[in-house]
Amino acid sequence: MALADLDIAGEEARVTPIRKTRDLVEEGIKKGYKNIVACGDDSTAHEVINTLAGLKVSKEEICFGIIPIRPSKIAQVLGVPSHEEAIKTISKRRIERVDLGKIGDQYFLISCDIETDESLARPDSFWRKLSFMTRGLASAPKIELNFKEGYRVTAQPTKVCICNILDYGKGKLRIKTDGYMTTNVSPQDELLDVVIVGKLSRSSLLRHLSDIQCNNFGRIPNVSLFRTKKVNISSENPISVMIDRQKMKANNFNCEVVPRKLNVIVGKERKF
Amino acid sequence: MFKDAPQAPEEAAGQTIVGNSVKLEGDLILDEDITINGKVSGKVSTSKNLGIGETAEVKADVEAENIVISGKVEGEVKAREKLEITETGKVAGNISAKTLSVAPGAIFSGQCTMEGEGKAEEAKEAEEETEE
Repeated sequence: MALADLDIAGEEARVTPIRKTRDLVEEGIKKGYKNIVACGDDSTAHEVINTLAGLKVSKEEICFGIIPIRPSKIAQVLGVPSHEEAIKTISKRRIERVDLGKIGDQYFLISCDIETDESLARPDSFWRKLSFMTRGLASAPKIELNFKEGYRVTAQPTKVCICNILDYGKGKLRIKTDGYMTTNVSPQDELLDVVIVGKLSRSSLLRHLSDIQCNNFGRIPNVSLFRTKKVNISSENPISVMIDRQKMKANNFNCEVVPRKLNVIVGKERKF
Repeated sequence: MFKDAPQAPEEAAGQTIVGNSVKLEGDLILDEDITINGKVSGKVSTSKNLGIGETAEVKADVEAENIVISGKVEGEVKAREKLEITETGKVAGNISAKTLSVAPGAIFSGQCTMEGEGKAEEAKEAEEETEE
């Protein structure tokens, strides 16, 4: 099925070495298009979102949509699991206005993951897993988080995840404490949820490795949760930050929520 | 932890959890349930429920609607409704609550005020003055 089959007209623009995603989006806005649909994967979607979020013109009517060509977390959270579903979703044009997270000068829709050990990001080879098992996280750097709400948290975490949307469930974040606690994570509450996975023993780390990678916090012990409008994160050593699957490295950065920043076209299977 | 607390919903609109390997300094003033299992110093205040776990070390004045203490607290504790100190709880500081429960094995040193008691005495004195 194509968009034309549903009487949806528009202009198709392809990224080339000369015309990048940002140029195409800005051109489309200048021409007066109200719906900007990214056709690709998370990398493409991330660039389009950042361009739309960074626009200085009024963008009340401009909407972001996605047609996933490859597996895409952003497509999943917006309730667009497949190419066919995406076309139907765009034709129905159900719109939600959502918050975005902002770290440095990068916006994110889903989450920003801070990993204190490179191995956690991709322990996919046997030898890396073995090295991870014997070394553990003894060298995990100390991280300080200064929250706008007036308190400071110090930890040597295995991982810090700053969530705007949960990419599983229906926005219900489950945390293991004395039993379990469940809380709502919503991209429409003007807050970010900061989840800190504390230092774990080696055996615990190995047991929960895939849970840590998938942000499945309900199965991991020693987890903290804070909700904030803005947090400054600093560390003595540079730490890796994954933003909607794009990577950057820094010692010190601010992360804040930008309320009601983007209109998105959503399907009924969305995660919020 | 809050099984006896009035209407503690299974899914709270918001939660803050201080894990057991985390240290928090400053004023934690919120409108949601708070669970502390780590180290906290400063001030803790919420309009909802507060749970202080066995591994928690709190050097702060704490205030909440209902409070359950299973760890160490140094500071003033004020519960607007119920305060429960479990068998592993240790409190050094003054406490006040409408309803108090201290389990065998709990350790408490400080002054205790039951809020309802003071008001009942004042009402009785006012009544006697009126009769006179």
